[in-house]
Amino acid sequence: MTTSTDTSTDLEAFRAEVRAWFKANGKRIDDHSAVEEADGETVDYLARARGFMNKLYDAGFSGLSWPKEYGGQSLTMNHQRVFNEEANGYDLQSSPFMVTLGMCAPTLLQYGTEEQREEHIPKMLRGDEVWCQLFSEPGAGSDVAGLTTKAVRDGDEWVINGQKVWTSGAHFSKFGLIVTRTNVDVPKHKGITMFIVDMSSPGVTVRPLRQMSGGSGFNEVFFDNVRVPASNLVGEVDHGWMAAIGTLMNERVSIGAGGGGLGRGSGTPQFDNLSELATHVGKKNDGATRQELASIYVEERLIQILGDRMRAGMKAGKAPGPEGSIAKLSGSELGKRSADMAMTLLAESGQAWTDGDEIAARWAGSLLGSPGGAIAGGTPEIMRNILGERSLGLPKEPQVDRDMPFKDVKTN
Amino acid sequence: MSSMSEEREALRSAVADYLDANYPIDKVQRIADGKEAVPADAWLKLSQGLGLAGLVIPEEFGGQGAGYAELGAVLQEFGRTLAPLPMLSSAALGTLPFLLATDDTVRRPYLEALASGEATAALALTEAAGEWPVTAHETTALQAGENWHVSGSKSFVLDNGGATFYVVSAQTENGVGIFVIDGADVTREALNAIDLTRAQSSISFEKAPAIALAVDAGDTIKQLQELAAILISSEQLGGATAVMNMFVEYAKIRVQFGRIIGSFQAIKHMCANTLVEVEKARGAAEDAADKAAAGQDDLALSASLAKVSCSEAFTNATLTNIRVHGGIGYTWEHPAHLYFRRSRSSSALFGTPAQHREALLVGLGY
Ligand SMILES: Cc1cc2nc3c(=O)[nH]c(=O)nc-3n(C[C@H](O)[C@H](O)[C@H](O)COP(=O)(O)OP(=O)(O)OC[C@H]3O[C@@H](n4cnc5c(N)ncnc54)[C@H](O)[C@@H]3O)c2cc1C
Repeated sequence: MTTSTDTSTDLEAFRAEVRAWFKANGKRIDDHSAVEEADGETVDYLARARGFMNKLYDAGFSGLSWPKEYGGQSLTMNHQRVFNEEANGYDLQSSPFMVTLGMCAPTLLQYGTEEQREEHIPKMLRGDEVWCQLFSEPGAGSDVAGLTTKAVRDGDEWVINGQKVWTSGAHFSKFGLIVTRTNVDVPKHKGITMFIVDMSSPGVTVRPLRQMSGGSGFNEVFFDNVRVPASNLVGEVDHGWMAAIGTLMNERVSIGAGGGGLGRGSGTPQFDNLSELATHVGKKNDGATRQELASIYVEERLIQILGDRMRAGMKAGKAPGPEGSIAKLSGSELGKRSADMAMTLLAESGQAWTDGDEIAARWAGSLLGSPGGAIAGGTPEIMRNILGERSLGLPKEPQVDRDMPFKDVKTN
Repeated sequence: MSSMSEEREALRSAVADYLDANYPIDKVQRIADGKEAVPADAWLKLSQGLGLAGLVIPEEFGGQGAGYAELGAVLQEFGRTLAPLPMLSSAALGTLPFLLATDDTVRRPYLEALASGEATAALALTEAAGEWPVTAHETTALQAGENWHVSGSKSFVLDNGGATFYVVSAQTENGVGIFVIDGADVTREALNAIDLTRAQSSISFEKAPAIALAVDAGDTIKQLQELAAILISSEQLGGATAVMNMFVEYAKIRVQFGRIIGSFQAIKHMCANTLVEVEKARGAAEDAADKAAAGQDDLALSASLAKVSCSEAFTNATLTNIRVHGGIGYTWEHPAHLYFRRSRSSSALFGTPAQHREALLVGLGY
C-alpha cells in the first residue's frame, strides 16, 4: 500500500495537520453538553452537520482515499487510518451522510456514468448533496428482489409508480437511488433497473414514520407518475440487480465497520464511553465488569481491523465481498452488547431518569436504537445466509421463485 | 481477504504441501495414539529441506532471515495440520530469546545449532503456579566468577519430548535474567496433557551450569511474553481455519431428511458464525504479526487482542466441528477431538483469554 505520497514523514505531517484541525474545529464526544440528537433525524441537526462536513471538505479531509477528479484527495488508506486515529473521540456528526457516502457514492463510482460521477460525487463529499437509498418496499424487505415499484419508459423519460418504505433520511435528501421493476416476464432478479431520482420531483411524497426509539429517521416514500430523465439510469436497463448488490455490500461494510462512510470511523467508540461509565458508577474495579469491558474493546478493535483490511482491499480494486456481512453482523451485535452492558451498569437509573441526566438519556437512546441496527441493511439471519452460501459455498436455501417469471411469483 | 504478500503466500503453500504430504491427519492421529513414532530425523530433514528451523534466524547464523509475518504464516500451517514437530516450540518460541539477545559471541553457537535443525530449544518462563504474565520467579540464578548456576523448576514447557537446551527466566541479585541450560542438566517429567499432539513437561534443575543471555532483562521478558502470545495465536488461527473447513465440507455432503445438512439454516448459521469469528481473529493475528515484523517495540495490546480472539475463535470452532459432525464427531477415531484438545490447551498457554482481557485494560490505563 506504499506510494510516493505515503512516506512516514508525510504521514506524520498529515497527522499533525489533522490533529491541529480537530483541535480548532472538532467537538469532543465526552463533552456531554455538546452532543445532540446523534441519529441525525432533524433538519436542524442536518444543517449543523452539513456545516461541519463543508469545513471538513474545504480543509481537504473528506474522501481521503477517493479519486481527486471527483473531489477526493487520492491519498492512501494509511492516511485514512491516521485520520481515524486522530478523529477518535470527536463527534464527526456523520450519521446524516452515512447512506450518501457509504452506499450511494460508491455505487455511482462503480456503476454510474462519467457525467453522473462528475456532477454528484464532489457535492456528496462536501455534504451539499444528501442522498437516500430507496430499496425496501412493504412487500420486499429481506427479499429486495421481490420489489414491485414500476418504471416504464416514455420517450426520453421513465415514469415511476409505487411505494418504498423505511427510507432513512428521505425527508432531507436531495436525491435517491431507487430500484424499480422494468420487466415482469423474466425471473425476479433479471427485470430490475436502478435510477437516480430527484426527491423534489412532482409526484414524490415523503411521509415520516416513527421508529421505536421515538425518532423519525426513516420514511414511507410514494411515487405517483414521477418522471425521471433517461440520463438518470444507473447501469443497464433490467440489469440493476448487480448495482443493487454492490450498494448493499458497501452498506454492510459501512454500517458495520465505519459509520461515516468512505472509511471514516463512526466517532462513537463504545469502549471509551463504557469505561467512562463504569468509572462513573464506581464499578471500575469490579472483575466481571472489567472482563466484559475488555471483551467490548476486543470486539471494537477486531471490527476496526476488519474494516481497514476490507477497505484496503477495495482500494486495491477488490469489490467488497460477502465479508461485508461479517462487519455488519458484528457491528450490530457490538451495539446491542454495549447497550446491554450500559444498562447493567446503570441498573435502575438506566430505566428512568431526571431531566438533564445526559448519560442515562444517551444510553437509553443506544438501547432503543440497537434492534434497528440489527435489521437495517439486512437482518442477522440474512447476513448468515449470505456468509454460509456465498463465502462458504453451502447449498442455497430452497427458493421457489428463483426461475419463475416475476408475474407468476407470489407476493405480499 | 488476507493481506499476505506473494512471497509469503509461496512459502506458506510450500509448507502446506510438505505437511499435507508427510503429516496427513490420520498419521498425526496414529502418532497421538502412540501407534506410530515421529522419525528421529524428521525435524532435521525438514530443516534441510525447507529451512524452517532457521526461518527467522539471520542469514549470518545460517538461517533464512525471514520475519515474524512469514513465521506467522508457517505457524498457521502447523496449526492447521497439527504436525507434531517443534515448529512453535523450538523454531519460534525457543529461538526467540536468542533473536532478542544482543551479544553475538554468546548467541552464535546456539543460533547456528538451531538453524541447522540439529538442536532444539524450549522456552521455559512459566512456573507451576501458572501465573501470567509471569512476575515472580522462584527460579534463581547465582553467579560465581564467570559462571552462572540456576536452580528451580519450570512448568508447562512445550518441548516435544525433550529439547537440546532450555531457556529459563530466573531471579538474580540484579533483576530477572534469561539463561540457557543444557537438556542434560534438567530432570524432565512429562505432564499428562489434554493435547495429545504436543508433549509438555515440567523441568527441574539444581545448580545447573547456565549461560546468561541477559541479566536484568525485565523488558526482554515482557517482549518474550508478547511475542509468544502472538506466535501461538497464528498457530491457533491455523487450527481454527482447519476445523472450519472440515465441518463446512462435511455440511456439504452429509444428507439427512433428504437434504444436504448445510442447507438447513441452523447448520448454515453455525458455519457462518464460525466464519465471522475466524475472519476477525485472522485480522488480529496477522495485524499483530505484521506489527512484530515492523519492529514495533510495545506489542502488548496487539498480542492480547490476538490471543483473546484466536483462543475464542479456535475453541468455539472446535466445538462446532464436533456438533456439525454429530455422533461421528464424538468418536476417538475422528480427528475432531485432537483439535478440540489443542484448542483448550493453547487457549490456556501464554495467558488465558481472561488474563489477557485484564492485561488489555491495564495496558489501556484503565
Ligand atoms: C433503522 C432502519 C433503517 C432502514 N433504512 C433503510 C433505507 O434507508 N433504505 C431501505 O431501502 N431500507 C431501509 N431499511 C429496511 C431494511 O433493509 C429492512 O427492514 C430489512 O431488510 C428487513 O426487511 P423486512 O423489514 O421486510 O423484514 P422481513 O424480510 O419480512 O423479515 C422478517 C423476519 O424474517 C426473517 N427472514 C426473512 N427472510 C429470511 C430467510 N430467507 N431466512 C431466514 N430468515 C428470514 C428476517 O430475518 C426477520 O427476522 C431500514 C430498516 C431499519 C430498521
